[in-house]
Amino acid sequence: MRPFEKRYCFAIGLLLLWGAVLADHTENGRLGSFGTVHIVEQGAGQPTRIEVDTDPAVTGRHELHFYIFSREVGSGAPLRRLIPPGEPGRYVLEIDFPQPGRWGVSMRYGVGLDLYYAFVETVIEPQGLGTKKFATSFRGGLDSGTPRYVQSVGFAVFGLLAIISLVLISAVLRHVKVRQVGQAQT
Amino acid sequence: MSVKTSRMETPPASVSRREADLWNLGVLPILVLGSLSGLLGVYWDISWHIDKGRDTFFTPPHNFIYLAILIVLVMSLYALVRDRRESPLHLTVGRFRLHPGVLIVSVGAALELFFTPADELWHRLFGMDVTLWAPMHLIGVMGLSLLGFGGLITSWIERRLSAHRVRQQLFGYSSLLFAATFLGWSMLFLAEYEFNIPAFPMLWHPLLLAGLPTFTLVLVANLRPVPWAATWTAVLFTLIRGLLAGWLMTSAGFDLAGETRPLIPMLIVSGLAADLLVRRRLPRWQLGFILGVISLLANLPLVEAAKINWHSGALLTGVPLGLALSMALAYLGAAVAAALEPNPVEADRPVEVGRGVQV
Repeated sequence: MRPFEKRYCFAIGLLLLWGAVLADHTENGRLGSFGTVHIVEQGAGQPTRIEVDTDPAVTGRHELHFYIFSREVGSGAPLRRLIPPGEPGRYVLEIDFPQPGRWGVSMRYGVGLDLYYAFVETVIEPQGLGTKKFATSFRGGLDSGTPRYVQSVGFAVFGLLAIISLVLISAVLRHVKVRQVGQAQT
Repeated sequence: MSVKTSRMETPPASVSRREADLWNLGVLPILVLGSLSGLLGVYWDISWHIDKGRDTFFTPPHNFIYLAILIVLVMSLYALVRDRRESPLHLTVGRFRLHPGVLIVSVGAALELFFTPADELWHRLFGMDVTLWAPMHLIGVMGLSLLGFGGLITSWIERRLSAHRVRQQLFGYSSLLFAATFLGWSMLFLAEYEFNIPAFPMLWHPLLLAGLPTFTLVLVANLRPVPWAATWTAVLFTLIRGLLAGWLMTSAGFDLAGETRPLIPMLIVSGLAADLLVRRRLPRWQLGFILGVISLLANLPLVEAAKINWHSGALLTGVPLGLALSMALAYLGAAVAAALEPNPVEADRPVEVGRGVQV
C-alpha cells in the first residue's frame, strides 16, 4: 500500500470510528431536553437556589425530581425534592446544603419507565457566594429500541388481569351472600 | 365450568369440628407469614434499590418475596385439595369442595404464576425498570394483595363455620391480622411516594392516600370481628410498618439496606372514625367522604415533615379524585361486608358443616 493510501485509510478509519462512537452514543441513551442549570450559592447551611431551564421546554407539566447527595465519605442521607414547573420548562428549587464539599445533583422527569435523567456536580463552599452555570442533557433510561408504547401495553395487560380478578372475586362473594341469605331464611 | 353449591349434611359424631378447619391445617398461620414476608421483602427491596443500586436474583429482600410467592402458590393448592367439608358456603366443582376465601387466594396465586415469568421476560426485553408501578410489578403486587384479602375472607368464613366460641374468637383475631396485612398491601402502592422517589405525578399520592385505606377500614368496621375492629386494624398496620422500619434500620447497620426510610402513614384516626361512623349508619358516600378527608388531614403534618411536595397542582386534581375514590371504596367495602354478613343478627350462629377435612 502506498503512503498516501495509508493516510487515506487512516483518515477514513478515524471517521468511521468517530461515526461508530457517535451512533453508539445516540443509541445508548435517548435524548430528551437539554438543561441549563444555575446554582445560586449562599454557602453551606444557607438557602441555595437551583434553577433549571429545559430546551426544548419539558411539556405536559412534568415534575422534576431532584436527588442531591454529598460525594464526601461518611456524609449523611441524601436530599430528595420534587418540583413542579413554575412556568413551562423552568424549575426552581431552594434547598439548604447541610455541609460544604462536593455534591451531586441528579435530576429526572418523565412517567413510569419513560424517565429522562441528567446530572451535574458542584462544590459548595463554606462561605460561597455567586452563581455557577452548568450545561447538561436529559437522557432516556429505557433500553434503546424500546418503543414508548410498551408501558401503555403493559398497563393494558395489568388492567385486563385486574378486571378478570375482580369479576372472579365478585362471583365468589355473590355465591357466599346468596348461600348465607338462604341459610338465614331456613 | 359448572359451579353448583353443595347440600348441607349433618356432621358425623366422630368428626370434631375443632379439627376440621383451616387453622389446624396450618393454612391460615402460614398465609399470615407469607403476607408479612412479602411486605417485608418489597419494602426492603425498594430501600435496597434506592441506595444500594441494582441487584442479583437471590438478594435477601428478593428471597422474602419469593417465599411469599411460594406460600401463596403452595398453600392455596394445599387448602383446595385438603378441605373437603361440605358447608353451604363452599362451592362444588366436580369432586372438589372449594372454600370461597381460598379461591380468592388462588386468584392471587394465578396472578403470581403469570407475574414470575412475565416480569423476567419484561426485564430481558426492555431492561431494568426502576419503578414499583411497572406493569408487571403491579400484577405481582396485586397477586400478593389478594393473599391478604383472601386470608381475611377465609378467616371470616371459618368464623362462620365454627361452632365453638373460643374458635370463633381465634378466627376473629386472625381476620383482624389479615385485615392489617391487607391494609399494608393496599398502602404499598404508595411506597414510592413514602420513600419520596415517585416516578409518577405527585397527584397520585393524595388521591390514593385518601381513597385506598377506606375499603379495608369500612369492610372490617362492618364485619366487626372484634370490638373497634377498624381501629385495631389501623393500630396493627402501624405496628407492622414500625417493625419493618426497625428492620430496615437494623439491616442498614449491616450494610444490607440503604439510608432512605419510608414515611409510615397515620391511619389510626381514620380507623377510629370508621368504627364510630359505621355505628351511626351514615350513608356510604358520606362515610367515604369523611374518611377520605380524615386520612388526608391526619397525614398532612407527616407529609410536610418528610418534605414531600403536595404542590397546588397535585392537590387540585388529587384531592377531589381521592375523595371520589374513597366514596366508591366505602361503597365497595360495605358491599363486601354485606355479602359476608348479610344478617348481622345471625353473626354468631354457626353455619352447619358436613363431613370433615381429609387428613
